[in-house]
Amino acid sequence: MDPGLSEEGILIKRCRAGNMVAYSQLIQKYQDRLFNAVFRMVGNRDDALELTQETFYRAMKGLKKFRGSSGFYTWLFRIGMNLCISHHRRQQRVHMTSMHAGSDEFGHQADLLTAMARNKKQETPLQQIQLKESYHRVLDALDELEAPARAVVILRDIEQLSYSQIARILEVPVGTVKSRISRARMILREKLIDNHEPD
Amino acid sequence: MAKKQKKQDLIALLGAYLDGELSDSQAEKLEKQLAQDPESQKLLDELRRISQSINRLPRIEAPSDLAEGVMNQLERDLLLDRSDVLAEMAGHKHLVWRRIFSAAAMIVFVGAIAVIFYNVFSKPQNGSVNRETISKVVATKETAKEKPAPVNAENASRAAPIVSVIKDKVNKIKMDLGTIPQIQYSHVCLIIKEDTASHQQTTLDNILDVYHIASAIQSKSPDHTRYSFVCYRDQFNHIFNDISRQARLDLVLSDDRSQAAIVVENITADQAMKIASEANPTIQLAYAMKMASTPTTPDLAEPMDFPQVFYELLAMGEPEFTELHTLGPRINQTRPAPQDDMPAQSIAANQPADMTPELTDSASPEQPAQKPKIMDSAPASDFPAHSQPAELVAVTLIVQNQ
Repeated sequence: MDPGLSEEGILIKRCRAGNMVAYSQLIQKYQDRLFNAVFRMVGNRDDALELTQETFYRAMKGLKKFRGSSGFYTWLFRIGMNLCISHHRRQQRVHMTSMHAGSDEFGHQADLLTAMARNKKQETPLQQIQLKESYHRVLDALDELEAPARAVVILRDIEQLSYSQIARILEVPVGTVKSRISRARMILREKLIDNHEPD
Repeated sequence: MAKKQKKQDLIALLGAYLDGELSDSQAEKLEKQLAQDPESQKLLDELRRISQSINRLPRIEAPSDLAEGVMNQLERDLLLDRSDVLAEMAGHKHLVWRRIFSAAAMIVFVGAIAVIFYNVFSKPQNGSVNRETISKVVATKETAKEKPAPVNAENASRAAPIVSVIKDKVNKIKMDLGTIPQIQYSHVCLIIKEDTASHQQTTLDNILDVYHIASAIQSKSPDHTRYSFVCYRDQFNHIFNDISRQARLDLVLSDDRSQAAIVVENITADQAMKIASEANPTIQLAYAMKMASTPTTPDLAEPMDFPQVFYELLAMGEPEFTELHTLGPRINQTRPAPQDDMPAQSIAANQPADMTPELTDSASPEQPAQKPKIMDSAPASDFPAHSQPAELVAVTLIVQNQ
């Protein structure tokens, strides 16, 4: 075994040799982060599951092409985000769907948010309602963003990635990341900040 | 318009500051500006609140069956012969190893066949080996010891690098993560007996084509042609029926632990399906013993090569042995009898007295054998409590040239 390889590098090497157990370990390692990001991109649990599985499947298929220069996580998220953006375009062609309002997913999201609010035992019922409303507002605001802008916001504010990491994942220049995120924040500010000054 | 652009530039600058993307000098300069400009400070606070509210959205955990779905998809691809997935993944090295192992397996197999035929035709005085006795054999370790077959021993030692090592390590891969399905394979080895073997081979090729068995491994020798492939139970059922219309099929089963081999002559479709549905070799053996009649001395030099089938057909690449784990003790302890065919007594009790210890000593009663997870789709209720229903069948067909 190459002593210079990280634990992840060893797993990837084993995957390339056809070791399915190693690949399942990689899936376990990243599935929660990827699923959460994809879910925030598409806003629908079933679609998120399908897209996340497709991401891992494609990652496995293309493992030979993975050079390791940007890290497996970056590479995985690149596949995932590209699939989400394509999915969003397809959805737009077929029909417009909200991220949650008016869809079956609304119930799930609402339940989730309610449960989340309920777990905060220190909150009063009024505060719980406010928290839930706040989550809904955030989700509504995210829903307003175009998929590429939403991807930038999710990678920055949820995944806490740097602009250069986001640029590598989305395969765009860092300048594009900057402009996308500033435009997205302008839109989010309009939606989320009460009494903000009109621009 | 210019005002809007100016605002956006400010938001970009403040956002970059919040995100830690400014250099020290840029940040210092901005902080001075913020100290003198309450509007910019307010905007910065708003942007911070926006980022925090997005960051505080509940984290959604992946569904528990996510990994299982991916692995199922990959396995389906392999079984449907879309082997590009792992072939691409494993790359050229994988193919090289496959070729090396295939060549080694071929050499061992040809050697084994040559040894069998040498035994059959050149040493009839041994009394233990001829064509007829191949077809009705039950042997125990004890009888094998009494009548050692040097040629078989030689074959076993030659086969050791492939058969023993891979059998031990690969035959029982543990997918040790809870969400990964443990697919159970049964192994069925059938000898096809027909006068015109060449015709039979052509027919067999056609049958395998019809049922989309594209990745069968064919090993040819002057005396035998062996086909190995993995298929679903339904496919096996159809293939068996098609072949049995034209030729006699004998089932061969062996159990390494007890050194037992058994042949069920002219096996019926029902019998074959029962064997094919059971992944536990001990229960398979118990079924087969009930189907067969007269115990005689074995003369089968590794007729089955399940690990090789597994290795080749599932394109697992060169196994990294350090990563593979066995499933624990083989489930050979005394167990309830299968529901319909087996009487209400233990399998071990149903076996010849001299075989019983070999079948029962591998797992202590206090330490129940680990029961691997079975695919949800496997019809577990149709099987005895301790059986391992098999969704897939690793089939070895040996066409004997007569």
